[in-house]
This record gives sequence, structure tokens and C-alpha cells, in this order.
Amino acid sequence: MSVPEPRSPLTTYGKRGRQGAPSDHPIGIAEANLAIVQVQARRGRGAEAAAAFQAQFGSALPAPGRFVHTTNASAVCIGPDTWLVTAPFVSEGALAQRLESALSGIAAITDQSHGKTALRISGEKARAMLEKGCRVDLHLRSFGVGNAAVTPIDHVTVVLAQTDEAPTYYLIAPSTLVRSLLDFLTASAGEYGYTLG
Amino acid sequence: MTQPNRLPNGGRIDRTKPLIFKFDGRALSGFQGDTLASALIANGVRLVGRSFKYHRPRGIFGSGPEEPSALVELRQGARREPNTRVTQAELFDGLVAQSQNRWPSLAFDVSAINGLMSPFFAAGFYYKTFMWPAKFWEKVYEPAIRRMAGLGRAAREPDPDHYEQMHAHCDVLVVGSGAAGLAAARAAAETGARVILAEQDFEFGGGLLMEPHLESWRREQLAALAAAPEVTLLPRTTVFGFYEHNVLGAVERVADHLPVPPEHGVRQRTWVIRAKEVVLATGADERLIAFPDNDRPGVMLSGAARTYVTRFAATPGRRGVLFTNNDEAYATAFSLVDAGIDVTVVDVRTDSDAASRAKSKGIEVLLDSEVAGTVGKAAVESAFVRKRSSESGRNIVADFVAVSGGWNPAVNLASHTRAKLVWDPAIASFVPGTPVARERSAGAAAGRFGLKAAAEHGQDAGRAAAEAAGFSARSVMPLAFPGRADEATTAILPFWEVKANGKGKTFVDLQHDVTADDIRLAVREGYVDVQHAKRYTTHAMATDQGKSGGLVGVAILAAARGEPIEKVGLPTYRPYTSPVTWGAFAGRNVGKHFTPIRRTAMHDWHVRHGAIFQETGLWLRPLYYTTTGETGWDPILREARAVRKAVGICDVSTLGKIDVQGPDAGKFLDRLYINTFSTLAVGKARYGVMLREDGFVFDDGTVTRLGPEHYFVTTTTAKAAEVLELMEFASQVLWPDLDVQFCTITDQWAQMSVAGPKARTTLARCVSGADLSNEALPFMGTATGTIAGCPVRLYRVSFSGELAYEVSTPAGYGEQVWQAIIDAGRTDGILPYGLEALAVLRVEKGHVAGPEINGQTTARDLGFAKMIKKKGDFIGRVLAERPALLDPDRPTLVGIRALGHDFDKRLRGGAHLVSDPDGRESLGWVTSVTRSVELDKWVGLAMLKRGSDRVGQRLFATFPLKNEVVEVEITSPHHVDPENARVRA
Repeated sequence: MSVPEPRSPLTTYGKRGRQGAPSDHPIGIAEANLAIVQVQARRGRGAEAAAAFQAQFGSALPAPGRFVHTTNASAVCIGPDTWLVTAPFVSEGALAQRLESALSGIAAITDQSHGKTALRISGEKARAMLEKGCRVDLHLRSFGVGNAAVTPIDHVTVVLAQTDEAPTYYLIAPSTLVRSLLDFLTASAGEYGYTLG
Repeated sequence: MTQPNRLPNGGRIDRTKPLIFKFDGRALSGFQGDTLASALIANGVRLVGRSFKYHRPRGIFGSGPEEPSALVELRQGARREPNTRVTQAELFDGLVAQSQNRWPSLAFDVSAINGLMSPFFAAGFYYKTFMWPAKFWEKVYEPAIRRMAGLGRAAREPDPDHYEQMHAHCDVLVVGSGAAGLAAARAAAETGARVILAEQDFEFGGGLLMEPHLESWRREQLAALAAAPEVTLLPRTTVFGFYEHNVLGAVERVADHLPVPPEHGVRQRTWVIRAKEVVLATGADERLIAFPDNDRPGVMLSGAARTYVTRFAATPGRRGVLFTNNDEAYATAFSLVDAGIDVTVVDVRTDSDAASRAKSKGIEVLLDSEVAGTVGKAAVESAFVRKRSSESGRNIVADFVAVSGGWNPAVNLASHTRAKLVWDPAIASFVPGTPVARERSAGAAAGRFGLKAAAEHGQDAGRAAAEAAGFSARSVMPLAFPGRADEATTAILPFWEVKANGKGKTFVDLQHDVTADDIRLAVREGYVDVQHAKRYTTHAMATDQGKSGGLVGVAILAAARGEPIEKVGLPTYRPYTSPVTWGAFAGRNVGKHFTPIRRTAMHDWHVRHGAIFQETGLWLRPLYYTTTGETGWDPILREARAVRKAVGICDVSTLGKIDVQGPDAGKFLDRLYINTFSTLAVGKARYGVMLREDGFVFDDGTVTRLGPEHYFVTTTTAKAAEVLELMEFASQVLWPDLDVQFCTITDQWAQMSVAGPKARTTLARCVSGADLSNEALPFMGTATGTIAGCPVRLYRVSFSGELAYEVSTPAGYGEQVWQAIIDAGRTDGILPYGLEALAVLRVEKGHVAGPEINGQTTARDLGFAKMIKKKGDFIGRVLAERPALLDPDRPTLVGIRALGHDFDKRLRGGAHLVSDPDGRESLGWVTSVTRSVELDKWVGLAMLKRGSDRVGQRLFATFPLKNEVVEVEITSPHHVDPENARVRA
């Protein structure tokens, strides 16, 4: 029997489609189906892990507060010598295995694909919406494409990264709390109009 | 509808947009651009409320947040909002307002008799009067006081509107948009800095709104600010607090000016502003003069009178008296005369530049004079005016008295930062001293009066703030302020009080009904410090924060002490500068959004199958399942019996799960637990106990070795975060040399316990790729396989005491695996079971949980002595060896059983164990109890002195709160299968 499709906490949650106030530029809110793997370098071997990652994925693991996007994966620094690596979900455990083979003995690899749920938020009012719950200064002068932060939004701690100038943000939240986070986001987006994908 | 006191021309109101509103049931009209206050004044409404303590008639005294008297209930039903200042309520069509603190009506208020009783209601009245007899307090005094106290009524229904928070960052925050604030914001904006300009009014401009000749400048500044990409303009926004690290709080009244907020919109929004630099251009608050009956409707601050006439084209009366000690107040006289209203100026000084200008305009000016009283019933009909040196004088017919005792820079926000306030004799007030935070005051807030002076000072402040935030101010344009140079003025004469001498009351605090005599009484009774006098009299403690009378009371206190005001000082200002509704602070976090909700992967299944949920921390956990309406113990015992007789399945995903890896992972765990994990075989699980540093038990759980350098740790639900924190602390601080990596995987894995004699049969039907035989997968063994194609890991551990497996699967497969096991177990009679049945089973089996691991019990107390390793250190080892913790008399864990099978003679947690039914000496206490499905009687766990020696004895569980005594037998904690045969079956 092949492995069935995993279900996200948002598969059956939230009213889909165009919601909120009328607007020509509604905010887009959608789940991103990502494999998410936590990489923690062995004690004192962060640089080695970054280099080994680069050899396999084409870009070094990023510095604190930063996010990198390579051709086949993205990585965001979430703590000292600790990263989340993401890639489009293909099959159960595939990304974790790629990282295991690339970083064997250099880093601890922990699959978090099910434990974390990624949301993609895009649109000119996306920043205003996030500012209702996010204490990080998201103005382009202090946070732009390539920046990342681990920070609470409302009451849920997320990994937040900006990936383009639309602007588009990715939020990676604990799966058991992501429905509450979505409640907050949709309530906050109401006045700007949004589409839940 | 006519508005008798509306001037035919002028003002900033839009006469093409009439608005109908109701006050105390009476329909009135106003215009777009009015406040409720200006509309009431335009309609000639003078009596607006009753005072707090004496129920004296009160009118409109101010024109902004300083208003102490004119508080009303705004709106109706669920949107009813008490104690709203009419001066800050923007008029809208259909607005409904009610006066408050009166019965049966505003004009005839029974409680006004309090005024006659006022000798008894002096300062400290409560403390003196309601002391004896003490038992009267709860039954008589407090209910009576509560009935009398308070002003408006809050709505009873839930607030139908929404509120939210906004987090903002900027380089320069400018608070206030008068001449100084606008110039500051403009200058800062021109440097390219990110600027927020917050204005509490619905129009930007402050004092400029009364100066038609400066309107073009005001508009030009606003247009430039609106066009600047990095400027945020926040009208209707009150900055209420200045906190550490340049964080300021503000509330934006987004939709208070509308009957109902627009769909998807909020009523109010709280702003948390992190500003690199702050310019406080908060202006100044005019102060009152305490003279007899200075609270009668018709008495108002001179600036307010001018505001109503110039900004709103509404006149407070037809003939007025202006009582002043300063030149600035003459602007009111000129505005009144320009509007065709007669005014007599009463100036306490012997001469002044402004008085000369007034006289040249034909205005009557009485110098060296004072207003020594007002006459009238519900409102002023005349003012008693006399020479300052004289007792006698004359009544001047007037329907309003405008009063100005000078101006106090609005220093509240600067004072929040702990900046010292400095006495400035030139204005007879305090100004902000050297800043402590990254802020500066500008314009009137810094004691710089006059619009041109304020604009210049504001521009300098805006430029300096931007530079301090790292911007170049070279591009800042010259000010180009068109106003005349501010005219020459004669100095203010500090003047605080015209003594009543027994006739009337001289108020220093209209909102709390505090008089000058109250202040002197406080001094006589020993409350001489400004902080003590304030609390004793409640002076300046009302929601107006003493904006108009605070300094006056301090001056009277200083005079009573015979000391200069600057020596007495002001009480420290604290947030909030103005009242803020609870809704604004709660924001979105109301009702079920108070905290986030944590749901397991099987949550929706539980909902569909009748789960009754229990909140445990943020989690929602099924307590039991019922679809037939059964109640009480029935569903719980049904679920527990299924586990004992057949098979049950329980969602245990909420247990904390931690992935621990690295070459030193085993060593790391050895130091955290009382037992050893470095020797655990790969593929095996072991129960572990952790201590706190002080030697008491911290948490328990299982540890499974998945690989040579890879462990899977479980914790209790309650301690999951704390265990992770302890690991972080240990790894970062205690043993940074250990090469270990760990992270929470609680959310990654859905976990379910499949327990009961038929657990293996059920699982054998659905598990592929794993040998479930007792030989291949023994107790404390693990295996991997699939269920319904989903990857699973099987841990043969048991909390219930039955043959049991914990099945874990990546959360995205949780519901599918759960359903597959239910389907496979249907013929075995599988039932889902919740927290209650789980508790029944664990108490029967004698497993400890929260009630036993309560922070007061040691590993030995709980029967874990044999688990403690002989060699090697671990957290808590040293302090666990303290003599008192080794005392053989310490209570230890035992089981207790009721003797009979009568379920009405129940055991209770918290009961004490005594040796005879009337015994007073507690030998221990009951921690957990349950009805046993195995023994068909009440059983429990208890902590008992010399517990193991007493097994077999009979004691009594006494619960005096309910007068219950139940005879119990002391047993081993294991009521079920003490040989542990079932878990190994």
C-alpha cells in the first residue's frame, strides 16, 4: 500500500475563497505544502554544516535573521547553528533523507513536516495585517526579502520570512496551533479583503 | 429644529450636514463637525450631569479630555458606554446620550441631599465613618456604598464590536498636532524619517483650529504630511502612556464617530508604538481657579469658551464674565466680543498689556478684582464680583463665567518616563526637566506659549529628533509661519483660590468633588505629603487626572504647609493620561480567542464522535465520549471497562515529545534522570524520573533509544515546555561541553494508546510490517510498521496496567491511523476513551500523576528508590540526600480502598487519614481517588506516614468540609495486577 496523502490541520478548516471587505488587491492567504526539516549542527560544527549544505543544495545555510532560497530548497536560521530547511513536499521523509545523507555526522536532522504548517501570505496589505500581531519591524528599511525572524504573532510563535517584494511572507507555525493563528490572520485581514486558498 | 446658541456664521461645522441626536430622550440637532458638547451648548443645554459625591448639578466645563463633569452614557443596549466625555464624543446622526448619576431625573435628583450632608462627607469620610462595628462592613456599609458609588452603567450584554492591536515602529513619533506638533512632524518628515503623528482630536491642528488666519498654513502642513510616503497620520488617537525603551501606547477611536463600525472594521485600535525618538507636543491644560460655587453649570474654562465660540460657532451664553490672572485668557474675551457676546473681564492683577488692549476695544475690565461666587439654581445667573481687598462687591448678571488660572504644560507623558518636572515661575507651573528617555517636549508642552513660538520650537524639536534618529536635517525647509509675532504680554500672577469663608464650596477637583477645604483638612490630619494628601482626599485621582485642578490643589496644600509649590511638587504621573476601554486592550483576544487553542491531529474525529473536551493548558483533550446523553460516571466507567475487558484507544498526542540526538545524548539524559539511559539497548524503552535541583520529583515519562546517538523522550502534558527549558538550560549553561541536540517534536507525532487484553488482536489486524508477538515485541520493546499505509512506530508501554501499545504516526496521518485501528478493533469491542477513564485506569494501577508529583514528594516517597542509580551525578541528587528528605517518617505512596461497595460512601482527594473516626492527628492525605471498575468500589492513592509499614491496616479518610468519614484499608498502590503480568502478556 502506498503512503496516503497526509492531512494538514487546515485541510478542513477555514472558509475558502474571497472574504472580507471589497478590495482590488485582496491579501492572499494559503497553506504551502512544504516538507520542513530541522537541522541542528553538532556542537561547534555550524560552519561545517553550512558548507556541507552548500555542496548539496547550492547555497550556504544562512546567518541568524536570514533566509536563503536555492533551486531545490530554502533554509532559514532559527537559532544558534539551527535551521529549518524546506522544500515542496514530495514524499514522506524524502527531504529529511536528503539532509541526512548530506549532513551525516555533522548535524542532527529532525523531520518537522507534520509538526509545522507553512502559510504563504502575499499582497500589498500583508504587512499591515501582520503588524496587528507581530512586534518585529517589517518595514523594508529594517526587514526585507531575505530577512527572517522567530517571533510571536498574536500568541503563536512562528518563523517569519519575507521572500519577495509583493510582499510575500512565509509563516511556519506549530501545527497544533495553526488554526488559532489562521483565525487571527483572517480576522486581521478582514478590513483589507483577502482570499483564503 | 433651532439651535438657540448657535452663531449665525463661522466655525468649522458643516451647516449643510445637520445631524439629529437625543439627550435624555429629547431630540436635538447639531452639525457635522460638532462634538456632543458643542451641540449641547448650541442647543442651550446647560445641566448635563450630577457630581460624583454631592450630586451637585454640573454642566460642560472643558472642551477636551480635561472635562471633569459632563460625563454621559453614550449609545444604548450592548453598545452603551458609561462615563463618556461629551467633549470627546463626535456627533453623529442618531447619537443617543443619557445623563447619569441622577434619580429620578437630572433636574430633580434625590441624592442631591448629599450636598446638605456635606459636613459628613469630607475627606477621609469612608475611613472615619464605616469603621465600627466591623461586622457592618460586609452586610451594611459596602452594599450601601456600592449602590451610591459609580457614575454610569456599563452595558450588560457582550460587546458586539471588534477591537484590535497594531504594532508600529517609527523614527519620530510626534504626539499632538498643534502648531508645535505640525511643525515638528513636517521637519522630521522632510529628513526622510518614518514619522507617526498622533492627534487625539478628529481634526489636526490643536489651537490652530481657532485661528482662521492660520488655516492655510495648517492645511499646507497637513497636505505635505499626507503626501509623504513615510508619514502615518493618526487622528482620533490618544497616546496614553510612555513606557520603558521608548514604547508608547495609544488608542485610536477608529469608528466611535459612527453609529456602528463598518463591516470588517473595528471600533477601536490599540497602538503599541516603538519610537526611536519622541516629540511631545501635547500642548497645555488650562487650570481652574477655586472660588465659591465654581462648579455651577455655566462656569467653564476660558479656553473652552473660546473653543466653542470660534471652532464650533456655539456660544456658552449671551453675557459672560471672564475671570483671569493672565494675559493669554484675554483671547477668549476678544473672541466673545467678535461673536457679539458681552463680556466683563475680572482680572486679579492691577494692570496688564492685554487689559489695555481689551479696554481699547471697549471691553469692561475690572482690575485687582475677583469672582467670589456664583448665583443661580441649576445654572449660573450672575457672578459675585468684588475688589480683592474688599468683602463687599456686586452681582454681575451673566449666564456663564469663563475662568483661567493659567496654563499647565501637559507634562503627563514626559513624567511617565521619570523625567523630573521643574518649576517655571514665568508661567507658574511645572515644565519637563532633562529628558530621561529619548524624547523632547515642544511648544506649550515645554512652556513655550504663543503659536509662533510654539511652531518655531516644534520645528527645532522635529529636526533634532530626526537627527538623533540618524537622519540629516539639511533638507528641512524654513518654517514660513504666517502668523503675527506673538504680542507682548504681562506676566501671570499666581492665583489659586478665593476662599469660601463658609459660603459655598470651592472645588479643586470637580470630578471627585474635592474642595480646597478638604485639602486643608488633610493637612490638619497629618497627610501633608502630596502623595498622602492626594490619596486621602482622592484629589486628582479621577479619570480627568486633575488636568484642570491638580496644580491648584497642590498650591493650596503648599500654602497650608507654608512652603513654596516647587518644594511640595506634583504627584508622579502614571499611565493612563485618559481612560481607555477594556475592549481596546483585549483586542481580538476575547471569548474563545482569549488564548490560542491547541488541537491534536485527531481533534475533528473527537468532535464528530461526541467528545466532551477538557482544557488542559492550551490543549483541548477529550474527557469522555457520549452520544446517548449518558451522564455522571456512566460514560467514564464504560470506557474504562472496555480497556480492562477488551480494548480501548486514547489520544495521548499531548504528551511532550522531545527528539534528543548527538554523541553525548546518553550522557546528557543520564544527568537529567535519576536512572540510566546510556546503557539502554537500541529499540528499547525505559520509564524515567527527573528531579528538580532541590531534590523533589519534577517529571516522569518514557525514554526510547532509537539509535546509538538518538533518543525519543516523552514528558507529561503539563511539564512539556518546562522539561524542554530545563534541557536548554542544562545544555547551554551547565554542560556546554556535551555534544547534544534536541528539539520538540510534540506536534510532529500523533500518538495514541491502544490498551486492553485484546490490544494485540486489534493491532494485528491493521499493522503491516511488524511482528507483534510477545517474543518479537515484548514489554518495553519498540517496532516500526505501517497502518493503512501510514508509517507508524509502536512502543509497548502501558499506563493503564493492561497489555498496551502506544502507536505514533506523523501527525498528518493521525486521523487515518486512528480510524484504521478503530475499524480493526470493532469486533473486539474497541472504544475510544478520554482523560477521565485514563485517570480511573492509572489510579487503579497505581501510576503517579500530577496529584502525586506535586512538587512536595521525593523519588523515595513515590516508591522509586530502586530506580535511583548508585553511581554518577544527576540533577537533584545532592539535595535529595538532605536528612529531612530521607526521614523514614515521611509520607510515602500507598493505596487505599473503601471497605464496602457502597458508592455513596465516596472517597475524596484531599481527605486526611486518621486512626479513629474523630481523630485529629493526620497521618497522611489522599491524593487521587476513583471508582474502580476492577474492584467495584472506591479506591485511591494516598501519601501516608510510614506507609509501607501500614499496609493491611485500617484507617479513616476524613473530609471535615463535607462531614464525611470513610473507613479504608491500606494497600499497595497497585490495585490492579500488582505482579505486572498483564502488561507482559
